[in-house]
Amino acid sequence: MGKQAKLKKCLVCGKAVYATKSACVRCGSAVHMRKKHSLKKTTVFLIAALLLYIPANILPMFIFNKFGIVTTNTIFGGILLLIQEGMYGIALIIFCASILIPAFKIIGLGLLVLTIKYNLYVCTRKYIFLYLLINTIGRWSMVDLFVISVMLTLIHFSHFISVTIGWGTSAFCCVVILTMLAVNSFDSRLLWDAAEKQINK
Amino acid sequence: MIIQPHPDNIWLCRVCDTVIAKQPLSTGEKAFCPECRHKLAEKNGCSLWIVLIITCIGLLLIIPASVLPLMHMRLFSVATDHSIISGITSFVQQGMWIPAVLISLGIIGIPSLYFILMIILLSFMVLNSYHTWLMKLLHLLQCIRNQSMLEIYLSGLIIAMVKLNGIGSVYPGFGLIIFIGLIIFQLLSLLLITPYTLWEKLEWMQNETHSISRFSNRQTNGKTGKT
Repeated sequence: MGKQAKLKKCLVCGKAVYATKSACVRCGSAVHMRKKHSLKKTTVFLIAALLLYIPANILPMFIFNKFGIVTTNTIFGGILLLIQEGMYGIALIIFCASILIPAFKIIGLGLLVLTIKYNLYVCTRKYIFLYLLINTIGRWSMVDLFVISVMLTLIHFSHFISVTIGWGTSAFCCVVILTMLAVNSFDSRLLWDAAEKQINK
Repeated sequence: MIIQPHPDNIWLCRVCDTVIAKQPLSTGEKAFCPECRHKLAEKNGCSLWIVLIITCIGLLLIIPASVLPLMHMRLFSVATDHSIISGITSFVQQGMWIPAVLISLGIIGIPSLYFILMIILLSFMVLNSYHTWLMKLLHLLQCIRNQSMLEIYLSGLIIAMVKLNGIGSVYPGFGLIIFIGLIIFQLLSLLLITPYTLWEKLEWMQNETHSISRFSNRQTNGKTGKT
């Protein structure tokens, strides 16, 4: 562990620095042993994301007008519609991207924060795998938004067939941004500290 | 008691804070953390010129890729087409600013900023002139490096193509080829050079300039001493 060896890592350029120094030798940016207020920031972003996750699922994502028949589609409604039309593969992809991944991110990061905060049982390897997984798959929840942006411009045939967007998209975007910020502000090295504490106990 | 190693002789894992003895890497080799399998370092042996050319082409491809139509759709002899710009403007027209900003940043803003920063950094490295603000640029580059959403946009296009086939006939446009080219060039420039290599190169340049200035200082001191 770098903490015992009295070394810390510059998160900007990746160089190891003595713990007594406050600035990096190579790039001159401020170096901390752990990210500052990491847990507090992550919790705040997670709670905000969780609150916005509700309107993102309730409000309509897009409103589809086909020969005067107007249907409003939430995320889940859109998936049901796809299943009715028999496109199971796409339904599965959109279900994973826009419902499963955000929920997985919020629950997974929440679990990590709670473990560190209340010093619960830590299985570091599994938890770090979870963290790296959240970090890599996070961006893929944007797929649904891109599909809607394509539909918006392609289905534009006067007043007979057209698509309008609902406020659900904005809420969904905010969820994506907030979860990204939460992942960035979380410091995974705190997990190892927690594991160490448990061994000493 | 733990003996404190010198910071230059070790790697510290950013994920799990493990101390690992630094080993000299030959080109193309990667070092992984034994504890959490996170990549510690990767040395690329690619020539800076090749990467510079690739990034220049990538930057040039962004403009046609965002303006040219990516897809066409035909229904009752009426044709519509989709390009990145038209997608963003239709969001703006309906008053949805947040998705519009997010899409324009993820598809146009971040990739073009990435290419511009890469070109500035690489050209200064090729010319071998060191400035302190290059480190700030590299920091910014590192922050935005993994945030571009081009490949996600491509999968979104494919999904939309399958989805809309039931309503009318959908076929790809010329812009799609350029867009795929853009993705390939971005991927190449991401793979061929890593921030680790760039930081090492910058540090080398920094030491070089310091030693030169020290040398010239000594020379001038000597001269003044004579007079």
